[in-house]
Amino acid sequence: MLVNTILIHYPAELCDAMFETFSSMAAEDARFLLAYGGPHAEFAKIQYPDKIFFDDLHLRGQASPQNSWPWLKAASEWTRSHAAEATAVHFTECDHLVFRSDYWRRMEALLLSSGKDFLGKDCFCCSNTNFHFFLEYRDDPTLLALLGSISKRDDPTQLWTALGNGMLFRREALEALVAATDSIPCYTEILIPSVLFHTGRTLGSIDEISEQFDHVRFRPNFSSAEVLSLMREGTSCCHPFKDRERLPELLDKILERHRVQPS
Amino acid sequence: MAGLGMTRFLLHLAKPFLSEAERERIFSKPLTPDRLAAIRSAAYARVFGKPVVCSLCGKPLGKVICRVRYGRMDVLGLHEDVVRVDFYDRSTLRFRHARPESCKALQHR
Repeated sequence: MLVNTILIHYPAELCDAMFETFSSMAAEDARFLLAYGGPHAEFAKIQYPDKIFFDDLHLRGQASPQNSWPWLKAASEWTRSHAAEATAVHFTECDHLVFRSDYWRRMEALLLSSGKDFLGKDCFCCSNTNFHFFLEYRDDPTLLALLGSISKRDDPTQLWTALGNGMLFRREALEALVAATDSIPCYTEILIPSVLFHTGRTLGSIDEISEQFDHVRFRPNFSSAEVLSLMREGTSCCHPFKDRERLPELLDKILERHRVQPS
Repeated sequence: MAGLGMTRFLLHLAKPFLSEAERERIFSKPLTPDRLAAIRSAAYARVFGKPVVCSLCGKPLGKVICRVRYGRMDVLGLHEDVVRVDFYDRSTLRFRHARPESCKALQHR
Protein backbone atom coordinates (compact mmCIF):
# COMPACT_ATOMS: atom_id res chain seq x y z
CA MET A 1 0.00 0.00 0.00
CA LEU A 2 1.16 3.48 -0.87
CA VAL A 3 0.57 6.87 0.73
CA ASN A 4 0.02 9.65 -1.80
CA THR A 5 0.35 13.10 -0.30
CA ILE A 6 -0.87 15.94 -2.48
CA LEU A 7 0.22 19.55 -1.99
CA ILE A 8 -2.77 21.72 -2.79
CA HIS A 9 -3.93 25.33 -2.43
CA TYR A 10 -7.31 25.14 -4.20
CA PRO A 11 -10.67 26.18 -2.66
CA ALA A 12 -12.13 23.64 -0.22
CA GLU A 13 -14.82 22.40 -2.60
CA LEU A 14 -12.28 21.60 -5.30
CA CYS A 15 -9.97 19.87 -2.79
CA ASP A 16 -12.84 17.65 -1.66
CA ALA A 17 -13.80 16.83 -5.25
CA MET A 18 -10.22 15.88 -6.13
CA PHE A 19 -9.67 13.70 -3.06
CA GLU A 20 -13.04 12.03 -3.44
CA THR A 21 -12.21 11.16 -7.05
CA PHE A 22 -8.74 9.81 -6.32
CA SER A 23 -9.83 7.91 -3.19
CA SER A 24 -12.61 6.12 -5.01
CA MET A 25 -10.26 5.28 -7.91
CA ALA A 26 -7.45 3.94 -5.75
CA ALA A 27 -9.68 1.93 -3.41
CA GLU A 28 -7.36 -0.20 -1.24
CA ASP A 29 -4.17 0.58 -3.20
CA ALA A 30 -3.47 3.95 -1.63
CA ARG A 31 -4.21 6.32 1.20
CA PHE A 32 -4.24 10.05 0.62
CA LEU A 33 -2.91 12.88 2.71
CA LEU A 34 -3.98 16.40 1.81
CA ALA A 35 -1.21 18.93 2.44
CA TYR A 36 -2.80 22.35 2.30
CA GLY A 37 -0.86 25.48 1.42
CA GLY A 38 -3.78 27.89 0.91
CA PRO A 39 -5.53 30.23 3.39
CA HIS A 40 -6.33 28.80 6.84
CA ALA A 41 -10.01 29.78 6.62
CA GLU A 42 -10.35 27.64 3.49
CA PHE A 43 -8.48 24.75 5.12
CA ALA A 44 -11.09 24.65 7.90
CA LYS A 45 -13.85 24.14 5.31
CA ILE A 46 -12.24 21.03 3.77
CA GLN A 47 -14.32 17.94 4.59
CA TYR A 48 -11.65 15.38 3.68
CA PRO A 49 -10.42 14.07 7.05
CA ASP A 50 -6.73 13.32 6.40
CA LYS A 51 -5.38 16.83 6.02
CA ILE A 52 -2.51 18.95 7.31
CA PHE A 53 -1.98 22.69 7.04
CA PHE A 54 1.23 24.48 6.11
CA ASP A 55 1.94 28.12 6.74
CA ASP A 56 5.58 27.72 5.73
CA LEU A 57 6.43 30.32 3.11
CA HIS A 58 8.87 27.94 1.43
CA LEU A 59 5.93 25.85 0.26
CA ARG A 60 3.98 28.75 -1.18
CA GLY A 61 4.03 30.06 -4.73
CA GLN A 62 7.31 31.38 -6.01
CA ALA A 63 9.02 31.73 -2.61
CA SER A 64 12.69 31.31 -3.23
CA PRO A 65 14.24 28.94 -2.49
CA GLN A 66 11.22 26.63 -2.55
CA ASN A 67 11.82 23.88 -0.05
CA SER A 68 9.55 20.88 0.55
CA TRP A 69 11.32 19.76 3.71
CA PRO A 70 8.37 20.59 6.06
CA TRP A 71 6.04 18.65 3.76
CA LEU A 72 8.31 15.59 3.74
CA LYS A 73 8.69 15.70 7.49
CA ALA A 74 4.95 16.03 8.15
CA ALA A 75 4.09 13.30 5.63
CA SER A 76 6.65 10.96 7.17
CA GLU A 77 5.21 11.52 10.67
CA TRP A 78 1.65 11.11 9.42
CA THR A 79 2.53 7.86 7.64
CA ARG A 80 4.15 6.47 10.75
CA SER A 81 1.12 7.22 12.90
CA HIS A 82 -1.75 6.65 10.45
CA ALA A 83 -0.59 4.24 7.75
CA ALA A 84 1.96 1.95 9.37
CA GLU A 85 1.42 -0.71 6.68
CA ALA A 86 2.51 1.63 3.83
CA THR A 87 5.60 0.58 1.89
CA ALA A 88 5.97 3.75 -0.18
CA VAL A 89 5.20 7.47 0.00
CA HIS A 90 4.44 9.45 -3.13
CA PHE A 91 4.54 13.27 -3.31
CA THR A 92 2.50 15.02 -5.98
CA GLU A 93 1.19 18.52 -6.55
CA CYS A 94 -2.40 19.48 -7.22
CA ASP A 95 -1.69 20.03 -10.93
CA HIS A 96 -0.71 16.34 -11.29
CA LEU A 97 -3.77 14.53 -12.67
CA VAL A 98 -4.22 10.77 -12.46
CA PHE A 99 -6.45 9.06 -15.05
CA ARG A 100 -6.09 5.35 -14.34
CA SER A 101 -7.17 3.60 -11.19
CA ASP A 102 -4.19 1.21 -11.31
CA TYR A 103 -1.80 4.19 -11.15
CA TRP A 104 -0.97 3.80 -7.44
CA ARG A 105 -0.58 0.02 -7.64
CA ARG A 106 1.78 0.42 -10.61
CA MET A 107 3.83 3.10 -8.88
CA GLU A 108 4.33 0.90 -5.84
CA ALA A 109 5.20 -2.10 -8.01
CA LEU A 110 7.68 -0.02 -10.04
CA LEU A 111 9.47 1.13 -6.89
CA LEU A 112 9.65 -2.33 -5.37
CA SER A 113 10.76 -4.05 -8.57
CA SER A 114 13.37 -1.37 -9.34
CA GLY A 115 15.27 -2.17 -6.16
CA LYS A 116 15.77 1.58 -5.62
CA ASP A 117 14.96 3.59 -2.53
CA PHE A 118 13.74 6.55 -4.53
CA LEU A 119 12.26 7.09 -7.99
CA GLY A 120 11.71 10.52 -9.52
CA LYS A 121 10.86 12.10 -12.81
CA ASP A 122 14.10 12.78 -14.63
CA CYS A 123 16.26 11.86 -11.65
CA PHE A 124 19.94 12.02 -12.53
CA CYS A 125 23.36 13.00 -11.29
CA CYS A 126 23.69 16.58 -12.52
CA SER A 127 27.33 17.11 -11.53
CA ASN A 128 29.49 18.29 -14.43
CA THR A 129 26.56 19.08 -16.67
CA ASN A 130 25.17 22.41 -17.88
CA PHE A 131 22.05 21.93 -15.73
CA HIS A 132 21.18 25.34 -14.31
CA PHE A 133 20.62 24.13 -10.72
CA PHE A 134 24.02 22.44 -10.71
CA LEU A 135 25.61 25.68 -11.90
CA GLU A 136 23.72 27.57 -9.18
CA TYR A 137 24.43 25.23 -6.26
CA ARG A 138 27.81 23.61 -7.00
CA ASP A 139 29.58 26.23 -4.85
CA ASP A 140 26.81 26.77 -2.28
CA PRO A 141 28.66 26.64 1.07
CA THR A 142 25.58 25.68 3.15
CA LEU A 143 24.64 22.78 0.90
CA LEU A 144 28.22 21.53 0.51
CA ALA A 145 28.81 21.68 4.27
CA LEU A 146 25.65 19.66 4.89
CA LEU A 147 26.53 17.05 2.27
CA GLY A 148 30.10 16.85 3.60
CA SER A 149 28.83 16.19 7.12
CA ILE A 150 26.44 13.37 6.19
CA SER A 151 28.00 11.83 3.08
CA LYS A 152 28.80 8.14 2.86
CA ARG A 153 30.04 8.56 -0.73
CA ASP A 154 33.54 9.00 -2.15
CA ASP A 155 32.69 12.40 -3.63
CA PRO A 156 30.67 14.47 -1.15
CA THR A 157 30.17 17.26 -3.70
CA GLN A 158 28.17 15.18 -6.15
CA LEU A 159 24.73 16.68 -6.79
CA TRP A 160 21.56 14.89 -7.88
CA THR A 161 18.26 16.25 -9.05
CA ALA A 162 14.69 15.19 -9.84
CA LEU A 163 11.47 17.00 -10.64
CA GLY A 164 9.78 18.14 -7.41
CA ASN A 165 6.44 16.70 -8.48
CA GLY A 166 6.07 12.92 -8.40
CA MET A 167 8.83 11.94 -5.98
CA LEU A 168 8.36 8.35 -4.79
CA PHE A 169 10.15 7.06 -1.68
CA ARG A 170 10.40 3.75 0.07
CA ARG A 171 8.99 4.51 3.47
CA GLU A 172 12.15 3.74 5.37
CA ALA A 173 14.21 5.91 2.98
CA LEU A 174 11.89 8.84 3.65
CA GLU A 175 12.19 8.31 7.40
CA ALA A 176 15.98 8.15 7.14
CA LEU A 177 15.99 11.30 4.99
CA VAL A 178 14.00 13.45 7.38
CA ALA A 179 16.07 12.16 10.29
CA ALA A 180 19.32 13.06 8.48
CA THR A 181 19.06 16.80 8.97
CA ASP A 182 16.83 19.80 9.65
CA SER A 183 15.69 21.96 6.79
CA ILE A 184 18.31 24.05 5.02
CA PRO A 185 17.61 26.84 2.54
CA CYS A 186 18.09 25.11 -0.79
CA TYR A 187 15.82 24.34 -3.68
CA THR A 188 13.87 21.08 -3.26
CA GLU A 189 14.84 19.57 -6.59
CA ILE A 190 18.53 19.62 -5.68
CA LEU A 191 18.31 19.25 -1.91
CA ILE A 192 16.20 16.10 -1.59
CA PRO A 193 17.83 13.82 -4.19
CA SER A 194 21.32 14.97 -3.16
CA VAL A 195 20.79 14.41 0.58
CA LEU A 196 19.19 11.05 -0.15
CA PHE A 197 22.13 10.02 -2.35
CA HIS A 198 24.70 11.03 0.25
CA THR A 199 22.91 9.13 3.02
CA GLY A 200 23.73 6.01 1.00
CA ARG A 201 20.35 5.44 -0.63
CA THR A 202 19.86 4.39 -4.26
CA LEU A 203 18.07 6.69 -6.70
CA GLY A 204 16.56 6.06 -10.11
CA SER A 205 14.57 7.80 -12.80
CA ILE A 206 11.08 6.58 -13.62
CA ASP A 207 11.83 7.40 -17.27
CA GLU A 208 14.56 4.74 -17.31
CA ILE A 209 12.20 1.92 -16.46
CA SER A 210 8.65 2.89 -17.37
CA GLU A 211 6.44 5.02 -19.58
CA GLN A 212 4.32 5.91 -16.53
CA PHE A 213 5.65 9.50 -16.36
CA ASP A 214 5.97 10.20 -20.09
CA HIS A 215 3.46 13.05 -19.77
CA VAL A 216 4.87 14.52 -16.60
CA ARG A 217 7.00 17.57 -17.29
CA PHE A 218 8.04 20.87 -15.77
CA ARG A 219 6.26 22.91 -18.44
CA PRO A 220 4.46 23.89 -20.66
CA ASN A 221 1.04 23.41 -19.05
CA PHE A 222 -1.35 20.87 -20.54
CA SER A 223 -4.59 22.31 -21.92
CA SER A 224 -7.92 20.64 -21.12
CA ALA A 225 -8.17 19.40 -24.73
CA GLU A 226 -4.76 17.73 -24.39
CA VAL A 227 -5.77 16.21 -21.07
CA LEU A 228 -8.93 14.74 -22.58
CA SER A 229 -6.95 13.28 -25.44
CA LEU A 230 -4.38 11.74 -23.05
CA MET A 231 -7.21 10.24 -21.02
CA ARG A 232 -8.70 8.63 -24.14
CA GLU A 233 -5.29 7.17 -25.06
CA GLY A 234 -5.11 5.40 -21.69
CA THR A 235 -2.30 7.50 -20.24
CA SER A 236 -1.72 7.08 -16.51
CA CYS A 237 -1.22 10.69 -15.48
CA CYS A 238 -0.11 14.12 -16.59
CA HIS A 239 1.48 17.25 -15.11
CA PRO A 240 1.10 20.24 -15.09
CA PHE A 241 -2.58 21.03 -15.58
CA LYS A 242 -3.35 24.43 -14.10
CA ASP A 243 -6.77 25.28 -15.54
CA ARG A 244 -8.70 25.38 -12.28
CA GLU A 245 -11.95 26.39 -14.01
CA ARG A 246 -12.06 23.19 -16.05
CA LEU A 247 -10.85 20.89 -13.27
CA PRO A 248 -14.26 19.92 -11.77
CA GLU A 249 -15.49 18.87 -15.20
CA LEU A 250 -12.34 16.82 -15.83
CA LEU A 251 -12.55 15.15 -12.43
CA ASP A 252 -16.13 14.11 -13.28
CA LYS A 253 -14.92 12.64 -16.56
CA ILE A 254 -12.08 10.75 -14.84
CA LEU A 255 -14.51 9.31 -12.29
CA GLU A 256 -17.06 8.41 -14.94
CA ARG A 257 -14.38 6.64 -16.96
CA HIS A 258 -13.24 4.75 -13.88
CA ARG A 259 -16.81 3.59 -13.19
CA VAL A 260 -17.27 2.36 -16.75
CA GLN A 261 -13.92 0.57 -17.08
CA PRO A 262 -12.08 0.17 -13.77
CA SER A 263 -8.52 -0.90 -14.59
CA MET B 1 26.35 40.27 -34.13
CA ALA B 2 23.46 42.67 -33.64
CA GLY B 3 23.35 44.90 -30.52
CA LEU B 4 20.92 44.10 -27.71
CA GLY B 5 18.43 46.79 -28.83
CA MET B 6 18.37 45.23 -32.29
CA THR B 7 18.01 41.74 -30.72
CA ARG B 8 14.98 42.95 -28.74
CA PHE B 9 13.46 44.49 -31.89
CA LEU B 10 14.07 41.35 -33.98
CA LEU B 11 12.60 39.17 -31.24
CA HIS B 12 9.35 41.10 -31.23
CA LEU B 13 9.25 40.92 -35.04
CA ALA B 14 9.79 37.15 -34.91
CA LYS B 15 7.29 36.55 -32.08
CA PRO B 16 4.31 35.54 -34.28
CA PHE B 17 6.46 32.94 -36.07
CA LEU B 18 7.80 31.21 -32.95
CA SER B 19 6.29 28.03 -31.53
CA GLU B 20 4.16 28.31 -28.39
CA ALA B 21 6.90 26.66 -26.31
CA GLU B 22 9.53 29.08 -27.65
CA ARG B 23 7.29 32.06 -27.00
CA GLU B 24 6.70 30.94 -23.43
CA ARG B 25 10.39 30.28 -22.85
CA ILE B 26 11.48 33.64 -24.22
CA PHE B 27 8.75 36.03 -23.14
CA SER B 28 7.63 34.54 -19.80
CA LYS B 29 10.44 36.39 -17.99
CA PRO B 30 11.68 39.99 -18.44
CA LEU B 31 14.10 40.45 -21.32
CA THR B 32 17.08 41.59 -19.25
CA PRO B 33 20.41 42.36 -20.97
CA ASP B 34 21.82 38.98 -19.82
CA ARG B 35 18.83 37.09 -21.22
CA LEU B 36 18.93 39.07 -24.45
CA ALA B 37 22.64 38.25 -24.87
CA ALA B 38 21.93 34.55 -24.25
CA ILE B 39 19.04 34.55 -26.73
CA ARG B 40 21.21 36.30 -29.30
CA SER B 41 23.99 33.71 -28.89
CA ALA B 42 21.47 30.88 -29.18
CA ALA B 43 19.94 32.36 -32.34
CA TYR B 44 23.39 32.93 -33.83
CA ALA B 45 24.38 29.31 -33.14
CA ARG B 46 21.11 28.02 -34.58
CA VAL B 47 21.75 29.84 -37.87
CA PHE B 48 25.53 29.46 -38.23
CA GLY B 49 26.35 26.51 -35.95
CA LYS B 50 27.17 22.89 -36.76
CA PRO B 51 25.17 19.99 -35.34
CA VAL B 52 26.42 18.03 -32.34
CA VAL B 53 24.87 14.66 -31.53
CA CYS B 54 24.56 12.68 -28.31
CA SER B 55 27.33 10.06 -28.21
CA LEU B 56 24.92 7.59 -26.58
CA CYS B 57 21.74 7.80 -28.66
CA GLY B 58 22.85 9.76 -31.74
CA LYS B 59 20.06 12.30 -31.43
CA PRO B 60 21.02 15.93 -32.22
CA LEU B 61 21.76 18.04 -29.15
CA GLY B 62 21.75 21.30 -31.05
CA LYS B 63 23.80 23.40 -33.43
CA VAL B 64 26.85 24.82 -31.73
CA ILE B 65 29.63 27.31 -32.27
CA CYS B 66 32.80 27.10 -30.20
CA ARG B 67 34.82 30.19 -29.39
CA VAL B 68 37.76 30.77 -27.09
CA ARG B 69 37.86 33.86 -24.90
CA TYR B 70 39.32 34.81 -21.52
CA GLY B 71 41.17 31.47 -21.53
CA ARG B 72 37.97 29.44 -21.67
CA MET B 73 35.99 27.82 -24.43
CA ASP B 74 32.38 28.91 -24.86
CA VAL B 75 30.04 26.44 -26.54
CA LEU B 76 27.16 28.51 -27.91
CA GLY B 77 23.93 26.70 -28.71
CA LEU B 78 23.86 24.01 -26.00
CA HIS B 79 20.84 25.55 -24.33
CA GLU B 80 18.13 23.15 -25.52
CA ASP B 81 18.96 20.25 -23.25
CA VAL B 82 20.99 19.23 -20.23
CA VAL B 83 24.30 17.94 -21.53
CA ARG B 84 27.28 16.11 -20.03
CA VAL B 85 30.68 16.54 -21.63
CA ASP B 86 33.99 14.69 -21.36
CA PHE B 87 37.15 14.12 -23.37
CA TYR B 88 36.86 11.43 -26.04
CA ASP B 89 40.59 11.62 -26.72
CA ARG B 90 43.32 14.16 -26.05
CA SER B 91 41.76 16.81 -28.25
CA THR B 92 38.13 15.83 -28.82
CA LEU B 93 35.17 16.56 -26.60
CA ARG B 94 32.26 14.14 -26.47
CA PHE B 95 28.75 15.34 -25.61
CA ARG B 96 25.84 13.31 -24.34
CA HIS B 97 22.41 13.73 -22.81
CA ALA B 98 22.36 13.89 -19.02
CA ARG B 99 18.61 13.47 -18.52
CA PRO B 100 17.09 9.98 -18.91
CA GLU B 101 13.91 11.60 -20.23
CA SER B 102 15.73 12.87 -23.32
CA CYS B 103 17.91 9.89 -24.17
CA LYS B 104 16.69 6.52 -25.44
CA ALA B 105 20.05 4.97 -24.57
CA LEU B 106 19.48 5.76 -20.89
CA GLN B 107 16.09 4.05 -20.87
CA HIS B 108 15.74 0.32 -20.22
CA ARG B 109 12.01 -0.20 -20.54
